[in-house]
Amino acid sequence: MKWMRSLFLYAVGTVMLAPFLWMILATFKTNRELFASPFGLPEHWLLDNYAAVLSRHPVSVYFYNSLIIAAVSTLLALLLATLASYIFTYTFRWRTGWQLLLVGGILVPTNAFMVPYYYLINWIGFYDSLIGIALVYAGISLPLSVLIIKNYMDTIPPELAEAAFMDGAGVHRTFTRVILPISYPGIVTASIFLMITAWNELLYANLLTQSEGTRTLQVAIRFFLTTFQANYPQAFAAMILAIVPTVVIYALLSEKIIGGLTAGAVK
Amino acid sequence: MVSKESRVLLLALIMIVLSGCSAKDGRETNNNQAHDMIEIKMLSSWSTDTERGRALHELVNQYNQLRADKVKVSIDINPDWPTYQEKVKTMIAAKQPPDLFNYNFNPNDLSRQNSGQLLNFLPYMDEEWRSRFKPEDLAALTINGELTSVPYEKAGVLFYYNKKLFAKAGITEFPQTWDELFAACEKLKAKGIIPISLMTADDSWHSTNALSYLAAAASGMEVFKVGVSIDTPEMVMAAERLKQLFSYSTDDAIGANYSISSNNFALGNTAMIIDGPWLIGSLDNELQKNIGIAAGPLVENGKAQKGFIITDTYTPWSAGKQESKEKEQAIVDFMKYMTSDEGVRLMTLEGRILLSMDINLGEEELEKAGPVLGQFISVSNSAPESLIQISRVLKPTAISKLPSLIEGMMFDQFDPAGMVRRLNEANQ
Repeated sequence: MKWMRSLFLYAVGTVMLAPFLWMILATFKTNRELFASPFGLPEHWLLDNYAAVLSRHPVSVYFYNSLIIAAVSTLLALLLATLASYIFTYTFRWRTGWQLLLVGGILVPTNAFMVPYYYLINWIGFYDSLIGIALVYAGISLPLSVLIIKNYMDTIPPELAEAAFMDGAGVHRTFTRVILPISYPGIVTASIFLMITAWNELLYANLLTQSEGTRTLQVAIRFFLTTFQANYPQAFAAMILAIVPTVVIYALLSEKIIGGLTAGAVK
Repeated sequence: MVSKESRVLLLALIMIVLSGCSAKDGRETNNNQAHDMIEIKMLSSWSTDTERGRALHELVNQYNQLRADKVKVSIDINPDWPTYQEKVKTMIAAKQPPDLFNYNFNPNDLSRQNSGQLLNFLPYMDEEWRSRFKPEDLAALTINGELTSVPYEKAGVLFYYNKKLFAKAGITEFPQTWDELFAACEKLKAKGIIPISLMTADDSWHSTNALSYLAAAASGMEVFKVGVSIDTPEMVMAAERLKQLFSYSTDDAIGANYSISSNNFALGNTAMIIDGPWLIGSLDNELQKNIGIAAGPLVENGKAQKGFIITDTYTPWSAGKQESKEKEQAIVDFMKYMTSDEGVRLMTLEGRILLSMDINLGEEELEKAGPVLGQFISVSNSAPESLIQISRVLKPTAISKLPSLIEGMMFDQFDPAGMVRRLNEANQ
């Protein structure tokens, strides 16, 4: 039966990897070649599409913008989510209601916030700035990060916090010295999700930024697929450049993600 | 305990993040230097990767030089048209409309005009400026007595045909009727040539162009008039013939998007396509020599006149209301420059955009424009009547349903009459 399992894994792997490999192959073709022979190998292994992507638009600036937005929004969301999750480990009046209110944000479609977010960000003077969009991402991601981190904190034995209290630690010290370090896998899991979401986001990046100095990589990819002109090999090359960081992050930290998600599954 | 190294690393990270958050376009004008200068921010989806985007930048640069130290127009590009439109609607809803933006006019969706956020150009429409436009264009864009949109782009959507492939099939001239066109399709198919590029993804553009031509040929130019039922025998006939036309298209037509469909024609894989002048930029020089441009074929006992054409909708420019009178006047001044003979000439010849404003091009200019654009202008200008494409005039619900209804018809989920009935229901 082992060979059947291997066969199944290879088949699933192929199905999942084939589109990605096809896209990589397409980046070495010309537009004409791609449409003439979509599944063939490139006649010449050209790097022209990558060169065009890097030279026609300031991709390094967009890359940097995406990186800053992803980092700031993740840090902000984690800061708030860890504090909120910690407080929910205590018993207080209306705790469940507050928790539902915060986590319930997951169920609200993000499109519903377009007008209020646009108005607020303009009002506080953060339109077309990286901090403005990072604030919005942090807000959108907060419910999910609270859900992940709170679930992880629930798996920490309460005896640990009790022991810290008995040793004289207060609420804050227990949080920073005991709960926070132990919650590391959950925090890493949430941060990966937040980083990847912020990195790939397009709707609010389009809405809240305008100038070249604040444009993100995801918005820039649309330059190669406009209404009037579509250069797929160049767009694919831009997509490959945009995908690489998320693949690297996931590959390096996949064990932490799985660990964070499965925490508490087995007591 | 948090180690010293960790604290240093955290501090460094915060500094990088803070420095990054203040990042803005380094090329922006210095505030002190531009203290008295009026700045107009123009939103556009025309990136400099396209001919029209490059032409617009040139036009703006020329204007900025002309009004140096007084007015500066800058273009903010948002290359994705649907999200750009969504953004403009959001800005209007938040009562912070852009200084200048363009959009696809739809008489069934007047949300922008009814917002009360747009600048009325009518008080500025003196005789000289008014004479630049066709009266019917100004009338169409005047809503509730206000002209909040300045007519600009209104391109014909015409038949492109590959003369070389037609010649291979023994066809010497473009068919004058739909019966002749289907006969030509048979001849092409017999020679192993795929007759026409069609598609069903996104807005199903090339297919709805064919549907518009078929409907208009039978019913005339009032077929999609606002408030009139489209569930007519002529529309059913048009849907039936569209279904027939798909049998002469590529295997990937059902599910194909604009790029796939247009590339099929641009690579010489198909003999015909129905599209606007923006396609010309995707055709290589060799192919352009063999391209013919034609108006719509007629049908027997149809109501359309010979040489009629379908057009894309108006893509006018609008401006947000301004608190400063000086800025309002500067916007009007810029719009006058854009619609001047000089501006129109630049956008037509360099940007390959066909505009609402009249333009008389000399032989030399037409030759410079290339073999296809010259024909395009000639066929458009000689059309006795025109009709706006179906996807631009129905109600938003019907527009969004139309592509899936065409697919449903092609998959025999319902017959052409059922497709038209469903479309009419969505358009109520």
